[in-house]
Amino acid sequence: MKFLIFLIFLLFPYLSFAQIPVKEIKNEEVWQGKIFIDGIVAVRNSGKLIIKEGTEVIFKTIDIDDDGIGDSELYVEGEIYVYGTENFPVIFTSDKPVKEPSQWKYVMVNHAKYAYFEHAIFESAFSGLQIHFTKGVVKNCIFRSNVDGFRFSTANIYVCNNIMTKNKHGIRYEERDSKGIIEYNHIFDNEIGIFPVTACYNMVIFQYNAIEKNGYNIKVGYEQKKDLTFKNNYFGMVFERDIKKTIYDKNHDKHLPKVNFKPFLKKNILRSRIKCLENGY
Amino acid sequence: MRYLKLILLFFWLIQEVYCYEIKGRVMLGDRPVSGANVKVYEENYKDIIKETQTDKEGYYLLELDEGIYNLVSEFEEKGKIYKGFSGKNPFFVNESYYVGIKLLPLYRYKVQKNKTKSAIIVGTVLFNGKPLEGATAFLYLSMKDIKGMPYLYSQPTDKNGKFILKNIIPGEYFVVVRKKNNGSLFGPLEEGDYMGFFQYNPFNFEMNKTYKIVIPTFKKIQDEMPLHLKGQYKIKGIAVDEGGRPVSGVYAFAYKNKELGHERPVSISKKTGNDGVFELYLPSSGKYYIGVREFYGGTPVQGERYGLYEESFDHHIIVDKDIENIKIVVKKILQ
Repeated sequence: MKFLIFLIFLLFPYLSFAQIPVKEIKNEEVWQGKIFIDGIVAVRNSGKLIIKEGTEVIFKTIDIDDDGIGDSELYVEGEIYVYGTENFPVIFTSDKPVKEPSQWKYVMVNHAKYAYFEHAIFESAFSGLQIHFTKGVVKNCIFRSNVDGFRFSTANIYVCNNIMTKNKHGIRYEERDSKGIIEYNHIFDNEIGIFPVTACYNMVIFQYNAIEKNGYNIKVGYEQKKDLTFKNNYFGMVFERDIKKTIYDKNHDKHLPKVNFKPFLKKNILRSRIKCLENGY
Repeated sequence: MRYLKLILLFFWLIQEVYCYEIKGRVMLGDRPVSGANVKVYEENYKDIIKETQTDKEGYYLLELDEGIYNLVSEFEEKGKIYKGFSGKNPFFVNESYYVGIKLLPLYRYKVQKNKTKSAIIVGTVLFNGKPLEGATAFLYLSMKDIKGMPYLYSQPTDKNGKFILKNIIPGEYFVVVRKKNNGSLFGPLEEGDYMGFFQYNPFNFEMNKTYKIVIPTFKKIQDEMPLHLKGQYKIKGIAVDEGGRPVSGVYAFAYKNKELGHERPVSISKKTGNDGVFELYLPSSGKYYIGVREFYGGTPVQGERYGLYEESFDHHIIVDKDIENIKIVVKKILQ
């Protein structure tokens, strides 16, 4: 008997007893008030999810696979429309009183029909929002206390006037076959403001953003090959030599490509004028 | 102490379980070769890791740990020596594979003195014993670079299959020849493209010497694995467009991991024909994530025809028997 118990103890990491609960949305559904997600909510390709202003989407902190990342997630392959307002934002958060990164997994939009997020707050996730293989608009949102605030690859995106703060990476991306504009965002107090991991080709334009006071404002991934362009952004400094120190590129490691950030803005444009396009570009 | 022994036994067992089976067949022309040596070299072709012989139907079976290897086969018959290389060399083993090897006659090389301080290679590229025009010879510093950028490459071979590489800094190199039917120099080989290895790789080319070498090539074919080796289970399905019409020219794939594309697929079908039908062969029962796509390798791109199995929210299918009649709807990405 003792031996049997011992064997079970040894094999425990290789056994999986529990299943993550899954709820599927196959038609149109509207959320408002408080919505609790315990496990996975999947919006199937026939589904459409509308989230109204002031809604709190609360992810239960569970970690069945024991990987240190919460398992609760919202996974979208249909359509999602998040209509928060300045006074009544939609909030995506954990059920914990103290908010820490990775308490829930992500809002993942993947091979979806369309994604629209306005005045939403993403906090305490592994990735606040991920968009892949989808056209999406992300405006006036806040990404805070996540590992990755906003993450994308191969997507057509318009990302405007968002705040990314206190994340490990404000924006993490593998551009691949993406197109888009990322403008008028305030990216500050992250370990890394912008993290182009690999396969970035300057087809997504970063302009008029304030990228400041991050551990590194930009850090280029070790597998990125092409030089990158971040023209017309504000880096919190007025001297080129000071800005260079905040960008981890060829200047820090000769194997990395260069980040071209000139001309750069000498004033924080976000304090004067923000002109987000109505429905993306 | 008794528990310590058990722990050691447990990890030894786990280690034994994580070997991968490499199966394949050695062919000479159209006939399988019995008794051919199959050698497994480590990544840089220095040491032989394992060796076996083909059975009477030309099949071999090897068990390898995870790692990077090269497979070479040698055979002697009626005083003639044959040598063959896997077109997959060097390949990363982290799952079980089928690797076919085609034997080619072993060609000797000649060395002459030259008056330069460098080495020169004058080569002839053959296919089925005849000159191959339009092939390119590539020189690599190490075998692991062979799927990346070469140190040097030649002009395409002329109508006599000739190429020349001059000004080679003396040293050890790997020489490889390729001819891609789409005309490009780089990128993965497709079915029908030509490939050949210098049969003495890696070779030390010395200064003041000109090497006259012959490189026989073979055509890359989709490894035609016999049914009993393909896998324990088969999934048969059809790729259709949004109007329900069969889609040709797409591959079906099966992954073990939900995050598609983060590792190699367990199984890939042949390209669908006009009937849109695909077949996937799976090595064991379990959960697989299934889809179809237009292009092989890399991340899907905008406009690529792509579709996922939609009967489960995360596109998985449980396999514990052969499965038929699954349907996957294909759409163009981001269009």
